[in-house]
Amino acid sequence: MSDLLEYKCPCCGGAIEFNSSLQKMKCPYCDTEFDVDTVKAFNEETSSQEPDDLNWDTQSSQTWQENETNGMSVYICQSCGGEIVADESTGASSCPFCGNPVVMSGKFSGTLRPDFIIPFKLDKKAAKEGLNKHLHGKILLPKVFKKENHIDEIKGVYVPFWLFDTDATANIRYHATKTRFWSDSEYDYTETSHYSVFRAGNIGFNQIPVDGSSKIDNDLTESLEPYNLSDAVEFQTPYLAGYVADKYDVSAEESVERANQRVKKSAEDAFRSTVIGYDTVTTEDTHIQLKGGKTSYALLPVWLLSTTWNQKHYLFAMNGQTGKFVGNLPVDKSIFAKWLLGLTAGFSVAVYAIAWLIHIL
Amino acid sequence: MKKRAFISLPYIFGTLLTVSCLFHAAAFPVFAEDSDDFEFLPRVYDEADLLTDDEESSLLEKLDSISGNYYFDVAVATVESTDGVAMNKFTDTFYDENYYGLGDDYDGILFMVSIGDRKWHITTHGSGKTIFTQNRLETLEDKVTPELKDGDFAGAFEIYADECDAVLAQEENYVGADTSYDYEDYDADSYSSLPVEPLPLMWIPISIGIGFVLALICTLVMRSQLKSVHSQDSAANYVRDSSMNVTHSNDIYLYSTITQTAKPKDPDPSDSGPSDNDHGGIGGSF
Repeated sequence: MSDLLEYKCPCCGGAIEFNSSLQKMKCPYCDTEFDVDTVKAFNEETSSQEPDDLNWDTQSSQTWQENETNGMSVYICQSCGGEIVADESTGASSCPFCGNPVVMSGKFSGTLRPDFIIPFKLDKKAAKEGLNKHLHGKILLPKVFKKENHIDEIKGVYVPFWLFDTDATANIRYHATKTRFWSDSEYDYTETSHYSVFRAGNIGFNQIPVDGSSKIDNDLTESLEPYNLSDAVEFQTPYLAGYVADKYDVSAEESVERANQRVKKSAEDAFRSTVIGYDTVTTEDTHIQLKGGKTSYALLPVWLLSTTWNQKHYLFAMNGQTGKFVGNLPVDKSIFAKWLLGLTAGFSVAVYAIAWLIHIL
Repeated sequence: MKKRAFISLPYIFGTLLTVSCLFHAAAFPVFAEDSDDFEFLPRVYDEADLLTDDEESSLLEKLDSISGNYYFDVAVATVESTDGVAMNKFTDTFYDENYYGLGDDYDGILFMVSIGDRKWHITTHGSGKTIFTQNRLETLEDKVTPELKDGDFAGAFEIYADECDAVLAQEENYVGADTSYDYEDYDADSYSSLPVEPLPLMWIPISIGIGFVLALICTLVMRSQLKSVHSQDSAANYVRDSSMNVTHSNDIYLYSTITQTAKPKDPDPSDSGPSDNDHGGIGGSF
C-alpha cells in the first residue's frame, strides 16, 4: 500500500492533480497549469520551511541596590494615572503627559532597575528651539494655538523602553513577476511570467526599542527614532537629577509582539533586496526562528510638551539625543477653507486664461 | 504669386475643360507647365453632369457673387470617380492643383462630389480653415447630406452656397463687401483681425473644477505638513552590521499568462477630415 501524495498548487494552495490529457499538473480550483517538476520543486521548498519560533528571554537580572532608591519619590497624576519618578531635589508638579497636577505618592520602591540609560544630550533651550522650528511655516496651524502654547512647560522625561537583541533565521517565500510587451500589426501582447522565490538566511538585530510606557503612544515614540544606542551607558541614579522618569507599565512580555512585527518586516525587506531581476516582488510567506533573543530595560531621553486646545490633547516630543521633533498639530478649519477657496479662485482664473490663450492662438 | 482669375468664366470654357479631361487617364484636369498659361476651372465644375445647364449657370452666378463679395473662393466640383484615391486626398489635391482660392493664402472652400463613389468632401484652405470651424462644417454636413441622399445635388449645392454666404457674412472684420474684385485694395493682414469665436461657456465650470482639484492638492499638502507622527514598521536601523547572509536561494518559474489587446483602428482614413495640414475639411458618403 502506497502513501497518498498530495501536492499544493503554487498559485492558490489547493490540492493539485495530474491531468492526463494535458500531461501536466492542473489545479482544479484555480485552473492554473504547471509542469510536474515545477510543482515538485515548489512543494519540496515549502515543506522544508520550519515553523515560527519567536521566543525571547525577557528575564532581567538587574535589581536595585540597597539604598539606591533613597531620595527618589513617586508622583501620580490624578487625571491620567501617569506615574513618574523624580529625585527629591528635582520634584515634580505637573504631569508631563497630560499637563495636570501630580501628587507625591511616596518613596520609590520595587520594579526593575534599568540596564541602560542614554543621558540627555540636548538641553531645555534646544527643546524650545525645536518646538518653535516645528511650529514655523505651518500655514494651517491655528494662530491662537501658537499664542496659547505654554512652551516653558516642556519637560525632560526619561521614557522606559525595552530593547530587543536577537539573531534570526528567516525563511521567506516571495511571489515575483516579470512582464514583457510586444506587438504585431493587429494586437498588443503582454506576457506576465510568475515565479516563486525562496530565500533563507540569517540576520541579527541590536537593541530594537519598544516603548514600555502606556502614557505615550507607540507611534509617537517610534517617530522619535532612531536612537544611537552606542551612546547608552550603564544606568546610574545621578543621571535622573533635573529630569523625571516614567515607570514602565507595559511589561517586556507585552512588548514582544511589537518587536516580533518589526523583526519580521525588517527580515522580509532585507531579503527582498536579494530578489533581483523582477518587475514586482511581494512577500507570500515568512517563517522566523529567533536565536538568543533577549531583552534589556533602558531609559531614553525625551523632551515632552503637553498642550490642550479646543478640548483636545496634543503631545509633542523631541528626541533628547538627536533633536528630532515630532507631534501632530491641529488644523484650523476656517484657515483651511479660506486657502481652499482662495486657491480655487486663483487656479480657476489661471486655467481659464490659459484655455483662452490656447483658443485664440 | 499665382492668383485665381476672378472674372466669371463662361460656361463654354468649363465644358471645353471637361472635354479635355476625357483625353487623359488622370482624374485631375491637366494644366500647362507654365503657370501663366494656366486655365482656371469655373466655380461650378460639373464633370459628372449632375446639374442641368440652368442649374449650373444659376449656381455659378451665385458662387461668383459670394466669392466676389467676401473675396473668398466658394466653389463646387463633381467628378465621376476618384479612381481609388481617398476622397479627402482627392479633393485637397484637386483644390491645390487647380489653384482654387483667392489671395496669398488661397483662401477658399470647395465642395466635391464623386458620384461613382457616392462620396462627398468639403475642403477649406487659408483663412477658410479658421472661418469654417469644425462646428460650422458639421452644420453644413447636417444640411447637405439629406439632399445628397435624395439625389438633389442642385439643392445641396444651393444650401451649401447659402450657408457659406451666411458664415462669411458673420465674419464682420473680413475684407469689406464693397471691395469685390479689387485685388490692389486687399489687405492680407486683415486676416489676423478675424473675430475669434468666444470660448465655450462650459469652460467656466471646467476651469473651476480643475482649479478646485489643484487647490485641494495644495491645501492637502499643507495639511500633511502638520502630521509628523508615523509608526516604524521596520527595524532596519537596528540590523547588526554584516549580520545578514543568505544561506539558501531558489527561484522557481511557475507559469506565464499572455493577454492580447486589439490595437485601436483608424475609423476610415479615406473619408472624413483633411488629408494634410494645409487644408481643413469634412466629408462622408451618401
